[in-house]
Amino acid sequence: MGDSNRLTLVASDGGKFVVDKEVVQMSVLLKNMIEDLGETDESIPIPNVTSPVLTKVIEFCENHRTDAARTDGPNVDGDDARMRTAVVSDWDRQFFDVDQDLMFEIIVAANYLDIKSLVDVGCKVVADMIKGKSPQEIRDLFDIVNDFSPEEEAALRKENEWANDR
Amino acid sequence: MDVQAAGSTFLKLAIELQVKVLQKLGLGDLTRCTRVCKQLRSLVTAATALQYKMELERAGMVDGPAEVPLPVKLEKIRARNAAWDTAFPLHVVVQPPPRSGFVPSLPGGVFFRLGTIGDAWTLHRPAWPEVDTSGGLEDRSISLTSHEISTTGMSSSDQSSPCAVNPEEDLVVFVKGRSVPDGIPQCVIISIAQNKIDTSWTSQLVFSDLETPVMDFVQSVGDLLSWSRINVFYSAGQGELRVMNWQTGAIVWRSLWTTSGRCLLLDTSHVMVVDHKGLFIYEFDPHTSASIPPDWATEASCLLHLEFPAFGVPDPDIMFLRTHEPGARYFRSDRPFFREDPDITVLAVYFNCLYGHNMEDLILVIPLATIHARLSQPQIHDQQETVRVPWSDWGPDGTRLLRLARQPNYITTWGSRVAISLAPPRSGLDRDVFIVDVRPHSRKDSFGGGAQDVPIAMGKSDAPIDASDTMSVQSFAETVTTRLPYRMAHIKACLFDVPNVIQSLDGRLTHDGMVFMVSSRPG
Repeated sequence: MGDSNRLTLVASDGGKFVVDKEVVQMSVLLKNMIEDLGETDESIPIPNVTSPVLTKVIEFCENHRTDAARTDGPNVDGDDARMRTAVVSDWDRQFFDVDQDLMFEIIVAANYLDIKSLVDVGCKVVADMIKGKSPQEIRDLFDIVNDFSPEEEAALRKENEWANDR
Repeated sequence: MDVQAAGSTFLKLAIELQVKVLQKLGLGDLTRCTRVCKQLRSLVTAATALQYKMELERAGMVDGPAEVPLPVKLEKIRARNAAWDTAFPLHVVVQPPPRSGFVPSLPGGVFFRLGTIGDAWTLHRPAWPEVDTSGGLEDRSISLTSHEISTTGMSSSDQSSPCAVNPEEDLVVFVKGRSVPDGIPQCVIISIAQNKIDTSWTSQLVFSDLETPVMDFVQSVGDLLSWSRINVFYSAGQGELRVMNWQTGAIVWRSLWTTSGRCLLLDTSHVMVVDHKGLFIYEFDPHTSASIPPDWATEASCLLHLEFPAFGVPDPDIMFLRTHEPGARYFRSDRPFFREDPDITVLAVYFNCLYGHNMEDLILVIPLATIHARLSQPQIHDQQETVRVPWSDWGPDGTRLLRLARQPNYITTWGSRVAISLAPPRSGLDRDVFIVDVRPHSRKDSFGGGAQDVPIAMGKSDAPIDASDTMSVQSFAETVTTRLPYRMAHIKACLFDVPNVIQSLDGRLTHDGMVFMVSSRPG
């Protein structure tokens, strides 16, 4: 009989992770699943998420376990204000200081597991990367091919001159 | 086959996630994203949420509280922006012309005076658009008849002037002049809830009696009312300034100011005096008891002093100074679709002063965010002494100083915009209305007007008004010592071809755009 406050998550590659229930509940998907299962010793498979990504997701949830209550608050207005003004904390920034593929995989996993705060921080980190960059710099950043013809590009540049384009 | 599919991890994200990322960006970044590639372009242009965000930022507004489908809000904000861009009216409201020429207009509402029949005021105020209306300018008017005025404690409208409106609390504030029989200046506060006058309830505040001639400036926000009773001649006189709680009648802050500076409420515990030396900010306790009035505030007792440039102009050469209070702050809950962004609200201060042998007309456009940013610094409240901030050190949002070609007829502010209506240079009916918008991402070349983008730099605090430091602009106004970006739009107002009837024509900003006021000659 295992500890009833902990359960095991199994990543797509078979990696096993023993985690506090409280931490797991930050994921709306897993929270609902646990409620449906009731008391069980069975481990929960997470077929869409690999071990390296799940390691990161758990790291984030463990670090943010205490502020879960705050973000779930019913005050829509306050939440909105927080979304508007909040800056990414130093810890979150360092957490996302990984290669781009892993960064996007974390965001996709967080979206699948329905962990709102992680999706939000991840999107903010990506948005911060885009901020202030020229179209060419954005292409370089995300490895995007410029599929506009030179004529189309010139027309777009003219149309958007007011946005201080470079 | 999609040319992008192989490469970019960003473009391989679910559309929903891409939109979530893009939603954290502002207008400028989103616009640049539309030039990256076709896929991103169609994403930005097709996502209603992103389009709405861009249009809101372009309008200088934020989302409102109403649960209205996003496409509906988008349609409304687009119509509004199109009206601003083309100067084509969104709504035309025709009112019978007032019979006498005096047409005061106040933030949050417009007053027409009907002088010839009885003692009646008509209040025209913008309707708070309800969800099922257009969301545009809709005019509602209320007549205050002599009967109603007498039941509210005013003997006659001739000696009373409307001074302020408080749309949050649905109040109109009148000031009863000292020429009325009992000779005591009073503020009469009238409730206009449900679009009619509530005669069962009024509040009156009595003021001390200054030597004439005086002017009253009243501002009403929430439970508080700031009342400046100042000398008409700026440098000649002292003013008495007060902040009062109209619910309890308590004076919560007061000062005998040495020049005719005006006080304005910044929030529920800070008031600011504006005079030619700058902004003097004080903290007060809104719960001060009615029986114990607070100490008289002096220049030396202020919390924070944001200094204006000295201009090298001595006090007696300042002829005239007017502070134009921001209008957008009042609308927080009334606007269902979208409302002015309170973070970009500006204040305008107009000077008329003798400089060398010339009269100069200057306007300072001051973002309230600049003041709030300074005030929120913790050291301001820790210091025993006043914190002085020189002009060159106001902060990143700074302030804009403009020099006008001639004396303005009318100045109004709304949101991030200041509208300046100039008299024609020669006798003529054309009226130039210039709109100065200080938002950093404001769009150029709207209204067919010229726009200036100038490099960011701050002038020195003692910088004189120096022609060598001005920008060469083919228009009425030139930046003087502050080279911060702003947008300028120009509306040539010659909309009416009945010249012998028109006496004055002024463009003013209201909550929903520009309103042209036309007054006809009597008879």
